[in-house]
Amino acid sequence: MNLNKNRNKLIIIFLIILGIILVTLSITKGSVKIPIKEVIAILFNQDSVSKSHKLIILELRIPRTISAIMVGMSLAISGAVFQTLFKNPLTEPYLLGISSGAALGVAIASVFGFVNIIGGIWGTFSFAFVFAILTALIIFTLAGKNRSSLTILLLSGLAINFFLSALNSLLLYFNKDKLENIIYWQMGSFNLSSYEKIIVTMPIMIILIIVLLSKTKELDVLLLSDDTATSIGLDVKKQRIRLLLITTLLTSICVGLAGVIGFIGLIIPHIVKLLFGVKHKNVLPLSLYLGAIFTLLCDILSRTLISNTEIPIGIITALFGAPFFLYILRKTKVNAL
Amino acid sequence: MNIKVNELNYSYVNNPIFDSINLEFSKNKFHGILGPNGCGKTTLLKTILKLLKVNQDSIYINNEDILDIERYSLAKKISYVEQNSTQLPHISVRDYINLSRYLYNDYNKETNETINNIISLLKIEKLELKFIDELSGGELQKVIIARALSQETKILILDEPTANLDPLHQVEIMNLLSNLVEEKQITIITTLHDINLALSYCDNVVLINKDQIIQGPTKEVINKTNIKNYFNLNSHFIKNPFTDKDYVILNQ
Repeated sequence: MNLNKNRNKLIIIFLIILGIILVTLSITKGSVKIPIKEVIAILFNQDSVSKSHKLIILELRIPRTISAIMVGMSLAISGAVFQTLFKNPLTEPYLLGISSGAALGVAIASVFGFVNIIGGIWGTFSFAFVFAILTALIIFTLAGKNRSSLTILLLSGLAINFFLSALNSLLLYFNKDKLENIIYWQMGSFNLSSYEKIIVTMPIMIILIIVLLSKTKELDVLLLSDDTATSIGLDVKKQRIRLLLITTLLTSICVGLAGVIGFIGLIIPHIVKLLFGVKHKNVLPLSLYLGAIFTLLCDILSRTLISNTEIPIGIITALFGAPFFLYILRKTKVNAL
Repeated sequence: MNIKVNELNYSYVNNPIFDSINLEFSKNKFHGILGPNGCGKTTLLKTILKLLKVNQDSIYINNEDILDIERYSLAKKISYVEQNSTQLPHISVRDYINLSRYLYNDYNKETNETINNIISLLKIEKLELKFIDELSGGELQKVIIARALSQETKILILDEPTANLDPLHQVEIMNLLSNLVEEKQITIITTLHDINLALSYCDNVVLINKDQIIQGPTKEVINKTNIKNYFNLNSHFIKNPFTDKDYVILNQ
């Protein structure tokens, strides 16, 4: 036990150092490299700094870094909750098509100009949420009582993803002028992060995350079969609907902020469970932290791998995520399928 | 705590399973429920646990209609051991037992007296730090019973606790349950397949088959006529030399 505690301490110290390094890199790296000394000077508002560099740091990179941290935390915690809700190690909002649903909502809103009716950012987020909820409902109905059956759930998610991407392609086909905009939502990017968006979304995200963190006991009990969990005193149906609504809302906010970014909700909770066990008291906070640093890492890679070009972050996370998915699939007992 | 089933009707997809049945499970007794596969044994347990919807005035616990008892309050009265719990999270035995403390203030506390007492009562100290998905069938069943006991209820309902266990573990589990009734003064209701286990351990039994149901003291209910009627088997009774109770040999 002591050995385990020491190991955990070491891992946590390593993660904290990694976090500091990644935040520093996220602010200093990019198409324009700005040395850390200058960044500090900018942060302390000294006069000696270049105006363009100041603009890049304060108006682009800091909001971008904050967005990446918030989105990473939200996607990872949503994935962790989804895996418990569906009693299934291979689920997350992206794989079940919920992120794509939100993205379709955003695309429809922007192509048909609905965004302006409700008003800018709120319009985008409302459409993302409504479409994400609709997708979640369809998945829940399709999977029915077989929620924990991997095959049914994943195939339902696959079918929904196909359907949504067909609708997205249709929108693209008839609106070639908005191609870039729609592709951006489909592949994810923090390129358009802004303080305006952060101010609108961050308080909601923080509240939703706090609500999830207060549900660790309920989530633990949800690891059991529905009948046993009910006999222990948990209102399974009510809790499941609540948790599904909260995570779907969080996911749609993430899509509204940065488009569709897959696999974070799959990879991060898995690594956390592997290192620290399945109890949600550990899984949720550690998923938040690891989700944030992993997303930061992917975002840094997305803008530094090829100079002067930004690769959509969804591509980077999928390059990590898809092989990881296969790895978990191989590890999952065949009889669970 | 006693349980009264009053004119209970229950249908599954328009197929009536129970038609106005009446039963009474008296407190501090070991009750067995027997019957052929598909006769509704598990359904009966689930109606008592409020896991299936029943009509008003169908089931009473200490004269209180279960429909009027909130879920959290019911969970402090009845605990449940499901049949073949296959859905097992990868957590330690102690953490698993702790899940039943969900409604109590000591949930997740490292030193939990209730859990300590139950672990020593069931003599499963050696298993405490093992993961539940690594246990053998017999060990697992004990741990699941420990989890149900840590809910500290006066009624324990089990669905075929001896299924898939070797004879040694079957006897071990039945002895354990029988001791719990005596030492902890709890009421146990369990479904069983083995008529001889019921003869050796149960105070009262319920026999169910299609539209017939009978309840009473084990010795009276389990007889040649009822075994023929309910199981369609011939039987021959002898004395069990170890317990001096009835032992039945079955034949088609």
